[in-house]
Amino acid sequence: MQKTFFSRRRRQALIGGAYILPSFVLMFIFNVSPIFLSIFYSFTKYDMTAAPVWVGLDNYIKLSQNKYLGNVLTNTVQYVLITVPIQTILSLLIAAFIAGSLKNRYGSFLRSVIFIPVIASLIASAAVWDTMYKPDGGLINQFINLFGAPSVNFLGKKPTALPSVAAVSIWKSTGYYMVIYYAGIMNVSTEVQEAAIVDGASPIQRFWYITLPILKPITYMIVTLGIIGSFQVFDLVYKMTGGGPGRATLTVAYMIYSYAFQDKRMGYACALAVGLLVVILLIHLIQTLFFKERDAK
Amino acid sequence: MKRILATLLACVLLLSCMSFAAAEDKKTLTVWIPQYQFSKAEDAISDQDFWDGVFDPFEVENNCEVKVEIVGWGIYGDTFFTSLVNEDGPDLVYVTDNYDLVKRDLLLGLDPYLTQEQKDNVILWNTAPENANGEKVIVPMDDGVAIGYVNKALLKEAGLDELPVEWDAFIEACKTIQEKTGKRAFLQNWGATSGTSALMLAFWPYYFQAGGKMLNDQGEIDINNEAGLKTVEFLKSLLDAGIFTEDIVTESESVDKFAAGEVAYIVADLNKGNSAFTPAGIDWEYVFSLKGPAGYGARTATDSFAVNKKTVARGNDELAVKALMYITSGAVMDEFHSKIFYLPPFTKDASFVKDEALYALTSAHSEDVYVVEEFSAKKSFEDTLLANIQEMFQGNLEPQEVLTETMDYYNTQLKEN
Repeated sequence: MQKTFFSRRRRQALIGGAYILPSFVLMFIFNVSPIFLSIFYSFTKYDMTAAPVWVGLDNYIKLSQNKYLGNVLTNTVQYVLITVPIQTILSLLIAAFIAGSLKNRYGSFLRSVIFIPVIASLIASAAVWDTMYKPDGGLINQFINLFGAPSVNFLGKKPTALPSVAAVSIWKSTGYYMVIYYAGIMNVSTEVQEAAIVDGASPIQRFWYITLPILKPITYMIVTLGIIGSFQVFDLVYKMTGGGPGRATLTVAYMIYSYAFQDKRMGYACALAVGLLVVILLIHLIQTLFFKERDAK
Repeated sequence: MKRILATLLACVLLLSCMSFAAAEDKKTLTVWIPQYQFSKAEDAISDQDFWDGVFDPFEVENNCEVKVEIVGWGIYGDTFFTSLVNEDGPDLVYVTDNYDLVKRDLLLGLDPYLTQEQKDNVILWNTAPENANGEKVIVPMDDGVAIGYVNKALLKEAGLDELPVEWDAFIEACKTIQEKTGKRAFLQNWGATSGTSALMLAFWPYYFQAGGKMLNDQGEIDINNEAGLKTVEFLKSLLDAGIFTEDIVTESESVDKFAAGEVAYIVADLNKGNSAFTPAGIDWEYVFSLKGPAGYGARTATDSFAVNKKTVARGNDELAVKALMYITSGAVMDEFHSKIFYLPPFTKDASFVKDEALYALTSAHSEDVYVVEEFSAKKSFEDTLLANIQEMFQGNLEPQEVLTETMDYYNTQLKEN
């Protein structure tokens, strides 16, 4: 009897394992192994043509002496600090508005419209926004000129270049996060909401004391995804500014690309990539602690 | 009935096998060429159709199949490098940056395959880089000089008969043009997102006009010298004189603005006059280059055709070299230059000249044309220099700091040791 029980469990485990094996193998090959390979290459000199040569900590020492690294890290952190809060709050507000006040075909239409940027090609979007930002004749400046204000060179001035690129990212990703929030809000029990109404809670109180706490796991996920995505920003910078003017929009991912593919210095680029990984993990750790602490309270 | 069907099926299978066997007898060559057809005319032949047509007789003559792939310019350099590193890269390839390819011995040495007559036919053969065995590895093509274009109408409106080309006089003339016409006198693409694109038109020509040499005695890039300083100071003086504004760091449409009659002088590739400015109704003329402290100077690039070294293992090397010499022959290149994109002839047996005035001008200045040379981490060096010049245009760096910072960063972070 005991034997049959174990063999059934084992059989079920084997069947279960067989189901996840293809995904596991693919994820291991394309997601996990590159991380370990990058860590290995970061200790080597590797140009993609000859076998990697072990150089110990040389790449990391050289990286620590890179005079533009601080500048680039600051840009990247600024970019994260602009994009993540805005896209998170904006997507939450839009989702709450549609779920609360537009539960009809107009709401569906608005949801679709806000989602369109998500499916648009990033490079094509960057090209369109590049044109819209132009100081002479760009759509945004034409609008600004209507009020008698002078044109703004959005991508050509240090104070505006990075926020302008970040704005495109926010426009691009808000729809995606909005859909996730919307699904979360729709899952909030109507009984709880109704009970709150009976108790005399205002819509803002219901949102603040019921909806938001219930959406906390979703917010945690959205913030995490947002931070990771923003730290890896490359395409927008590549297409819109090339890191300029000067180094105003140069980001870590763009630097990694330059070292790896322009200079064929994979080892050095991997050292920078590993550095980025460590930074993201640290931020993730702090974020997890923050959310846990809030949970405990 | 069943027997008839079975016999028919067997015949079909047999014929298929025969055709496969015949196909296997044929060698296959893969050729990578970037897009060169930029004309929007309805009758303009596409790159793919052009090259497929070019290779039709070659395929018949050599009993082979040639697969031409047209690759976009976006990251062409990175694309062909990674393809040549991999086992399934193209046999014959159009090459832009060759430093890494030569250093990593990815290209086939051509000397053993070519006769002296074939080598003599290539005008820039002596400038081609060599592998460790001293064999030339590319067939360099003259990519054409970057040339100056003047809007004659704007010049006339400003009361000038011709554009002075000496640096100081040029600045004064630009001020006059802006004052009298209210239009921009001079624009450059300092907003290009790649250093290479910006500098080939907006930095290297002035560096050559200032007497600068790109590589030092050790064969390494070094621009932190007198010529470099004169060049960067000249660029800053354009800003100080109000010819450039701070907006120059986002400028990437000088050609379009010249075609719209909004600019008096630009530097662009030698096709723009006939293909863009004449159709736009601009009354324009060529200026070879400005004239700096060391004289005239224009840059040219030497893109090239090369054969993948892995063709030896594939048994395709001789056929690939044959294809290489076929497409670089005068007859094919004359067709290419007349139907797809005009460039100066780069083999002695080519004869097509599209614009006699331009040909006469560049021939008269043949001593003033300089090649932008290849060196380690060139693209990142050019990105760094572009970023530092942009910093200068924004008031954050002085000319000497531009040079010092660029070279320091290159020597400590970019250069391969």
